[in-house]
Amino acid sequence: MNVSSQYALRSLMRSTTRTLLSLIGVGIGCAIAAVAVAWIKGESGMMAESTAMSGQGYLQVVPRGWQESRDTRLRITGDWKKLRKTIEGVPGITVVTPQVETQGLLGMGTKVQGVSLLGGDPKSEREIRRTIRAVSQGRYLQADDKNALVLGSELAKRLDVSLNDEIVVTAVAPTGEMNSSLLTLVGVVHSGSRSIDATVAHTNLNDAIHLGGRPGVERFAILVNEPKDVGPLAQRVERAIDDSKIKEIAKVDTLTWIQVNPSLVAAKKADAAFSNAIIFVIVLLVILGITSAQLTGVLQRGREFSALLALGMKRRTLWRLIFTEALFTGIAGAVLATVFATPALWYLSQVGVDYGAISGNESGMNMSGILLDPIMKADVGIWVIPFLLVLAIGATLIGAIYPAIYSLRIDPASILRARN
Amino acid sequence: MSESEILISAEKLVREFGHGATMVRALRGIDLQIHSGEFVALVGPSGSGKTTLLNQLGALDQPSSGELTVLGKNLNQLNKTQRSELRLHRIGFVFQAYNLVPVLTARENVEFVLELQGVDATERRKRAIEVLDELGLGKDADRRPEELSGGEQQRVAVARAVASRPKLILADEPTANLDTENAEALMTMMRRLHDEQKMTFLFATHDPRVMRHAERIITLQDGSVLSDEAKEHGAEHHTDLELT
Ligand SMILES: Nc1ncnc2c1ncn2[C@@H]1O[C@H](COP(=O)(O)OP(=O)(O)OP(=O)(O)O)[C@@H](O)[C@H]1O
Ligand SMILES: [Mg+2]
Repeated sequence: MNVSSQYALRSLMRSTTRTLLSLIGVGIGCAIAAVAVAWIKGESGMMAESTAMSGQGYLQVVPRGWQESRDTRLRITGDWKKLRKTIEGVPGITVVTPQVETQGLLGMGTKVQGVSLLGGDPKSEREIRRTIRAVSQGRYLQADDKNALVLGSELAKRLDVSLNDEIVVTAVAPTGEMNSSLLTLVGVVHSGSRSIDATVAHTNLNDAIHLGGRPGVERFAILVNEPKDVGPLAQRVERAIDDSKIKEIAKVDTLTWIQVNPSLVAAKKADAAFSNAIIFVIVLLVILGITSAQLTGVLQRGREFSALLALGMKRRTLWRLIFTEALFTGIAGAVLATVFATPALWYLSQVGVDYGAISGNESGMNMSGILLDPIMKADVGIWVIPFLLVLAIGATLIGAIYPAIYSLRIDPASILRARN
Repeated sequence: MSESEILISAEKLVREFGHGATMVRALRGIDLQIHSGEFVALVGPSGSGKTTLLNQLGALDQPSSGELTVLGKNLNQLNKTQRSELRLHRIGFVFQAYNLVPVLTARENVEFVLELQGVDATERRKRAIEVLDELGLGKDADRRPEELSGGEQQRVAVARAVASRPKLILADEPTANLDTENAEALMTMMRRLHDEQKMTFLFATHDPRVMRHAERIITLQDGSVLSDEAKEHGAEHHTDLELT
């Protein structure tokens, strides 16, 4: 190591208290920032997952025009089974499930409830919809079911129905005529969220299509291997569909869960803005702390620096010295930040925080029909290390700018007047 | 002496501080020539302008008017960087308060200046040890300033000043903080550097112990040269000139 670096390092070690305080400041500040970022990342990852697992999937293939109009009457017609196979063949796609929703009335005796009856493929629907995994009575739908119905527990209670009851379902066909069927209740699901349990009404795809009177499926909901790569995957799906040239298939679009849920994304953006604001304030405090510590260091060594400038040291060298000290502080601060952040990150990523326990709602929080996992976890990865290094070193270097500028006031000519 | 090279040449050198009613005229037209290899004491009462003059000669400050040539450079024509280059490579400084870097050892203090000059690592280490040994400071090489006495610190400061063998060494009250024994040792050391390596020394001082060693004594008063007298070499006889 050259003498300049020794000089910087030992100057830091000489003023032990000040250096320690700076390090602790950088360490704590950057650790908090890292935890905040990991938390927000975890939250948004969880939001994506919860959204996908609420039955929407990470990707959806929808009729062209749906994205703009949100018109639930649009259908993918033609050989949609072949289309499903095509999508399933795209690498990275794990589950593709067709869905149809039909607005209708459920009637039992004197009780009537309006519902959006979901028709799906029982096997793949269960994989994509966390809310129906908890069957409290009976069973979920099976592939060969005909005129079978599964209801949420709250809805079953409101209709006052029990297993094997026959329920009248009425829907209005596009022609304006009423369509009615008798469906048998085969199972009741209990998600834990009252509003979700008040809306679940599932039947097999063909029954729902028949009842609605519109041929074709409303959409395919799709799960993927790598939720972070939904953008490129959507393009791959689109290309596969284009290349397949399936006959009679009306034009379709492939959307990501973000495009399907613009309002969720706005909420996510607001969250990110909030965490960015926190990080900004913390970093600002770290910078100010460093500035004050470094300025003290420069002021205390005014005489020393003045003598060195008199001996012919360049301003540039003095600046390098000040920034080298900042760099050392930044590196050591990043190490300390890692030490501080590790237990918190470990806890938040492994154990997480149970919002269910906090809010008294045991199995989940419902957010516009999406059941959020009550246990929130931070998303921690190797990114934390470079993040802390860049943040700590960046903050200390920026903090050193003012002291460096201030050092311009040190006058080499004053040293000859210094007496002792 | 007059045959040798002129290191410093000042003509009508004026340095004023402030302006208007509060203006201080610290130097009022100094004419001065110093030749290579001289050993000069700059004396005069407090406030007479000694430090101000040294700051001028050492390219640390700029004159208000007048001409000043140091080591062949017209200082009025040099910018800040060029002046700091001149100080770094060709002028050595010794301060009253030593001003060693406290966190560096004696050797590192010497090495640091060589590093600033761009001397490579092995060479500067070798030279630092060489010059410390030469000045009898070998045993102190790895000690920090706080572990050294004032006298030792000042000798390390001289080692730092002469490590790159500059032609001109400027010192302001180098012995003011030293006891007689250490002051004597310092002067002997500077004499030796002067005798053996033909270095030119100019020191501002009140100290009769220093003046005794000088070959030439320039006396300032109120910013002007009051007298400028050459003394016999060796100058063993005491001057009773006490100015403060
Ligand atoms: N930066 C400055 N601003 C204003 N006046 C100054 C400045 N520097 C020096 N002076 C004045 O210039 C005059 C000469 O000062 P200088 O320090 O050169 O004297 P000196 O001979 O070195 O004195 P001493 O023996 O006490 O060290 C003094 O009157 C001093 O007050
Ligand atoms: Mg003085």
